[in-house]
Amino acid sequence: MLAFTKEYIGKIGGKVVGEEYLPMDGSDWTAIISKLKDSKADALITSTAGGAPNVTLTKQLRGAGVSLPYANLAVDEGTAKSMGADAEGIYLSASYVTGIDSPENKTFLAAMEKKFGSGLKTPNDLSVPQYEAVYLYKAAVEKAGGTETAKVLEALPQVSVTGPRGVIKMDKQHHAALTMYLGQVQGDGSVKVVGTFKDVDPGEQCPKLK
Amino acid sequence: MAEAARELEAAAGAALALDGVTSGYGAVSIVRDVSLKVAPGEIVALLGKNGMGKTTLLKTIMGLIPSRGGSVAIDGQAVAGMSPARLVALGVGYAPQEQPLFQDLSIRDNLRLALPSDRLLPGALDVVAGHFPFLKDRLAQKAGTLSGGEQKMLILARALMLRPRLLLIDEISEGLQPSVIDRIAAALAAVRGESGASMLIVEQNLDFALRVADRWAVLKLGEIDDEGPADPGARERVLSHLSV
Amino acid sequence: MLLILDVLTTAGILFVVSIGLLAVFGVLKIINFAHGAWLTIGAYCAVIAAELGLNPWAALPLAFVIGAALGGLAELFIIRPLYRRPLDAILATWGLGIVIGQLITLGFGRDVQMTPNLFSGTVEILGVDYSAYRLVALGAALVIGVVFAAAMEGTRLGLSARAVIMNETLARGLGIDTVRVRLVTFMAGAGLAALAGVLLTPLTSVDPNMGVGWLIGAFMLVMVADASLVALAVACLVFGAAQVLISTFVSPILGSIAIAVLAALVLRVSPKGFSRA
Repeated sequence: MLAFTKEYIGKIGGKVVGEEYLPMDGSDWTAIISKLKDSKADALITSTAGGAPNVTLTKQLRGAGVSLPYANLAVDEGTAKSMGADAEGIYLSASYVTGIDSPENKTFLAAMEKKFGSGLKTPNDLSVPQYEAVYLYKAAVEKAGGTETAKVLEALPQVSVTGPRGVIKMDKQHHAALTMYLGQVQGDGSVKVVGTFKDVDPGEQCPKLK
Repeated sequence: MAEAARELEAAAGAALALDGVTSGYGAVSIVRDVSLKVAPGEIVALLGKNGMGKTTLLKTIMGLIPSRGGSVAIDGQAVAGMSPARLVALGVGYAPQEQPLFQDLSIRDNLRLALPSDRLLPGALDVVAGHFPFLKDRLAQKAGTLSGGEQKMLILARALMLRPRLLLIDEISEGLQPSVIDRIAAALAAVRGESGASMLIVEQNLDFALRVADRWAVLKLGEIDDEGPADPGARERVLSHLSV
Repeated sequence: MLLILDVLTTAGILFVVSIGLLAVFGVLKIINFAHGAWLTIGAYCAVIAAELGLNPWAALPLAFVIGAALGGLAELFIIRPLYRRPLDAILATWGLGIVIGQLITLGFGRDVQMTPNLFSGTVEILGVDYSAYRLVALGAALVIGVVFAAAMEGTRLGLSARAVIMNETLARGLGIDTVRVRLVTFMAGAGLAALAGVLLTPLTSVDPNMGVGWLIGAFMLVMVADASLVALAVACLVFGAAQVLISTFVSPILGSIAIAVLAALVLRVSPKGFSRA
């Protein structure tokens, strides 16, 4: 992910002025943040393990007064919410954010709210695909006329389902082209869609599968 | 029950009564079946060569080593299993031999640590000054910087300052010049004269022991080998036990 | 300048995190491997304080009291029977840490908790903008260190604790209630750990396992300091500097293992660590 990012930054005429790593469970970003400030970088892209490490890094960044444009490749909306004001302005990319402005998403969110109420955990692009996958499987089983594995597999690329993310169809070597969203965390913790990349092709994933 | 009652009855009237005391470390019993009495106001010297169990016996009485058998009574009260803190409250003073001082602490703090409360400090310092006036003038000095004799006097002063009824003293004369030994002997005599305290003193210095004690007992391989009064014939009798 | 501030504040944070462990190790002669769990307890006290609508700073005394109270219970029922079995005490405290982590998970869930900022923003020092909170944490380390030293030097309980550290047999022989000294010391150590947990909240995510990562560093520092407060301060400064310098000039990955490796080296050369110097 970071290799791709570096290549892309070079391609659009940018320059990577620094690249730093910490062990997965590392919690002390002191030296790295000081180097970041020293580098006079214009923007920051991070990719930690999901959840807690994001929070630790963001707290220390904000504590040190780092406010440059910041894109996080590993944060989900729920984690961003738990960071409160510290998360404001962070860019994140995902195939699902709650801010998708579509009737399907609004219906989905309203239904979730109704079912779970205050216990609702923020849906993200880990949980929504599971939700859609169940419906996709249902459609495949219906088309195959039973649950026999080989028949369901055969039927899977021929069906589609319309979920919170729109139409999902696993017709690219049993992968689905997904629309990717660039979101930005708002002051209230919600994520606003600031860029949409329609139906990103998954590329060669399983070349031998038709 | 009857036996316990009998033991207490036997202990009645004694300042310290040991009956069949056995104790030691790990699997080894160092003190075996020791019975000994110290009458009120009496000074008993516990003699014997190194490694015969004298220090272990004092530690057992003081509750620092659990006894494995027998009974210990102080003024008729069974004290086995009591913590050193409770024994101090009962009026026992202890002057240990091994690492007896906090070398890095001041004289004042070394004394404070042996008091249940800082409120007792002024009175205790008066007692200390009565026996060894130099200590009161050097309260801020670190104990580790005192000379060997001064350290011994501090150890003794600390054991005396709460005016105990029973004193357990472990080799207080060890390595001391005759002049310091005289001062210590005088202090012990004065304490007994003033408060009638009883004492059990562990000694290697036979002359000093027989000078201050009323009676003696020789401990050999953890058992009482012989005991008797500190009379003119005592020296020869004790030596006969120590020479083998 | 940035580097100096990084070193000083890192040392301060390490000191805050380690001092509770040092107190317990010095007097009780056991390593409290549940120390990390008490850091977590403290941080969750900050969460509770926020839920109750208290001032964020009120979490500090709250954490100290709750940490000390829970520490007292742990000493009474778990640690006390194990004083003569230090290896079992390691297992027991490690297990206790796991249990506490799971209880917190049951009570609060696995999620990262939001805590209010104790102190936000930056201040300019000699031309560099620096995290105001890290400076506050450094100040807190100094205050805690001075108060702790004053308590050890100036109170009777502190004197008794030092006596137990220096020569426990003698302390007992003089009638010091070593059982009580141990209990109170463990409570103080647990309270300080919880206090440190609150002070960590602006620096790290608050989740049920947050304390574990800090435990190893604290353990290494205490081993090197060998129950001496001054040696602990020196160790935090030296190892904190090593961590920052290696992270800055070599690699943050090596920097993150600097404390553990250097502590092992120091103990190899001098088993008493820094305490003799």
